[in-house]
Amino acid sequence: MATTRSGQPGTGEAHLTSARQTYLVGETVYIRSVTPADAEWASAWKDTLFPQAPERVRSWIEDDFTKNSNPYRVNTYLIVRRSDDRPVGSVRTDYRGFPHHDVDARMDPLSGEQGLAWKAEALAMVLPWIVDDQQRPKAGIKLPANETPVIEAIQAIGARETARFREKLAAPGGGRVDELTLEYLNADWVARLGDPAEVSFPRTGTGEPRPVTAPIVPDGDPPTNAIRVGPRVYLRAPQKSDAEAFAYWAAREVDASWDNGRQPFSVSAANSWFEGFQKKTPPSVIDFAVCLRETDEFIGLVGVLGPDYHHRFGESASMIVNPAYREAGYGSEAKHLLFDYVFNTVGLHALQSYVMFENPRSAAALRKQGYREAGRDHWIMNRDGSFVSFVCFDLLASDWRAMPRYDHDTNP
Amino acid sequence: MTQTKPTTSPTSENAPQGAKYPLQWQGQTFLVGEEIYLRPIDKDDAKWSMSFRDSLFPLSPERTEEWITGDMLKGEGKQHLGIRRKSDERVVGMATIDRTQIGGRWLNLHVDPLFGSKADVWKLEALRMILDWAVREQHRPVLHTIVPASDQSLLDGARNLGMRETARFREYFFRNGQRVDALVLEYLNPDWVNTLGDPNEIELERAGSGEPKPVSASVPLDGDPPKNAVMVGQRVYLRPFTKADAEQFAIWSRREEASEAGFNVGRYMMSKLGKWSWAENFQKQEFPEWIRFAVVDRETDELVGGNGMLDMHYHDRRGETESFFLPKYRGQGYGTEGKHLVLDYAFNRLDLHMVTSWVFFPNTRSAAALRKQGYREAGRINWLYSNKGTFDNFVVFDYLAEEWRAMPRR
Repeated sequence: MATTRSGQPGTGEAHLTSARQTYLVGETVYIRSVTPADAEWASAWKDTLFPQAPERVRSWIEDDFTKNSNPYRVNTYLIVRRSDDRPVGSVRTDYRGFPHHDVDARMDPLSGEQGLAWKAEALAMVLPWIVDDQQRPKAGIKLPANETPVIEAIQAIGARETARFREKLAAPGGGRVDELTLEYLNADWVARLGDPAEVSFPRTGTGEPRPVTAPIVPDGDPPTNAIRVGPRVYLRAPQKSDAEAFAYWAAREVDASWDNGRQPFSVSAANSWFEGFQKKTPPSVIDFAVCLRETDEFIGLVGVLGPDYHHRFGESASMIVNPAYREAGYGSEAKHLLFDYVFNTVGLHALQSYVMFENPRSAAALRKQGYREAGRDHWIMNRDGSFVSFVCFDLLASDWRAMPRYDHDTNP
Repeated sequence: MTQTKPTTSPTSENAPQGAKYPLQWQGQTFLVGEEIYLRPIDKDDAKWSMSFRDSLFPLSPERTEEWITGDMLKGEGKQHLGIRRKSDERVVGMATIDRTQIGGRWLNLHVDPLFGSKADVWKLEALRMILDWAVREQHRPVLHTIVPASDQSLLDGARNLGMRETARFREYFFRNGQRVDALVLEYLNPDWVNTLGDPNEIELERAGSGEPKPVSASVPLDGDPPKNAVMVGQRVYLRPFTKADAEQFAIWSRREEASEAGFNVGRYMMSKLGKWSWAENFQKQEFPEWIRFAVVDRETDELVGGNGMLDMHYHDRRGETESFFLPKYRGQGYGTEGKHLVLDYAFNRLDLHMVTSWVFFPNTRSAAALRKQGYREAGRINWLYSNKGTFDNFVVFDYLAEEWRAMPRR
């Protein structure tokens, strides 16, 4: 029997109770949509580190939140305590990456152990809802490795761990904690395609890390607008002329294997991409143009996707767009300049990287750069009449700092 | 990329000279054909506005440049590739590629008809390149496109390229002063056919007799119509969808039983604000893309469901009908009575020529209801959503105004 917010059954507004709700209702919590009235409990469920007044949250719910919410794309639901209809957390679902469907849960930090129990109950309802009720192939979630009750609860319904990123999260109270990637797969799709965990990942190369190409201080003036300078390349902010070069080289791509096919770009789209991130501070993507010191030619991009400034991690990415400069160490040199920037200037603690199973060459390059294999993330994209998986890597700032450096004097 | 430390710097023989990076067909490694090639629409293309915008009305280069740098760039997931003549780099058309829920593709091809028979040749060449690139190279399961039946050369060419007709909507387009059928063509990725089998071999399950029943037409009123009513029937009336209705829909979306949720694959939870924002946006449009009614019980004024039309094309005079009813009012004829009020509105008020309807394959009950209402089966559209470890299909229907008018009345 559901009760109202005041604890009295039957007197609350229908959308603020679990009365007659037929799914996503557990023993102690239930899941429902967000309403403006929930603004008063925002500190318990809104994913922010900072204080926000109910008035501010209410106008956000009525405007941006509503405009950007869609149960078929990205949505946030509340985790609500059944005994008194009080919101205690939230669940975000993201359906934009078929066949993968992303789930994230956030509990009131003040709810402690009880919060973990609610989170466990909520996730044990949400994962099967997406995969078994809505017949989606896969739901995936990332959890701090120390949330044992939550991990055990979803493992009990069939979820399993596929990757562990070391020291990825800032632990409440200090220190670092690993983050686990867990998946919940649709049994019919597993019967159809086989268990992706049984697919082996092809390897090339020795897997041995190579010495780091460290940044240098040039003899004369640094290149215009440079942020890091290496022996052969330097990094600077992407600019409008790079958008032209990017579109030019994208149309001339010869290798369709490292991603799912080639992708042409317009100059306007590339420019809008560069500009969009630079307009925000701090940016949600940190991109650098990779340029040759000798000619100032733009040859590619390196950067960090989705930097998390609280937990101090991000996902590294790189692309040498001019094929003449691939397989010649320019990418790795640029990557180490990026590491120097993100670890020593931005202060990130860890980086992660994902590589498609069908791209063992990039995986080998990551190993040489010092990355360590963290596991795998299954069923991320369509490929070859099946769903393709990714291998995951991580790199700690401490790992990178401990790596040997090239001696530029003896290895010019 | 592998990390090595080369002793010499490589040279870039094909690197552009100077600061310019000319975007032209020479050097492009994919989507290049005999006479045309494809590259994303860019700001400088605005001068060819009328060759690629597929607009009934004149659009200046200035307006099109605004669209290219504004709405077009914001259109998440949609690609706009300019079809360009190699001989002089002139934009002659545009391929618009949209994505589906499972990662498939919908293609719309437009080439400026003022190029006459050349337009047919270029369209087919563009189609050939897009199938190879968007389906095979990019590993997409399927690509769909809708083509006027009068576009014979494209249809013949598409069949030769391995595309297959899966549905025919009668008198769907208005072209050159005539009504023209539309053919839905699909191109399946052979790798996915190997995995899942040919979807055209999956039989559509049927329920009911399939026989049309007499129309429950709108009724003359004795007294005043219900407040704000648009169409009135024996038991229900249609009125504009309101914020209060959105709240009711949000509540109902949480009360769906799994066994009753056959109108969709699984249950989806809506918020009252989200539902209202969706409906209100359409009501703000002068010619709404989606017309949504609340269906209300005449006796009690209670909301029993919603229905309407989406994908409205006022020039072609067509739309796609839809409906959703509260569980306790399902299976009692409310849906059919409401639907005939929508059809009355569509054909007699808006003067539409025809409507279509799409139903998930497993939803045999809704398909049977459409047949009873007089709709005719138009075929199927395969592989649009995930269900039971496969990509599942829609059965599609069409209904002409003249057919609805010829139906017996109760």
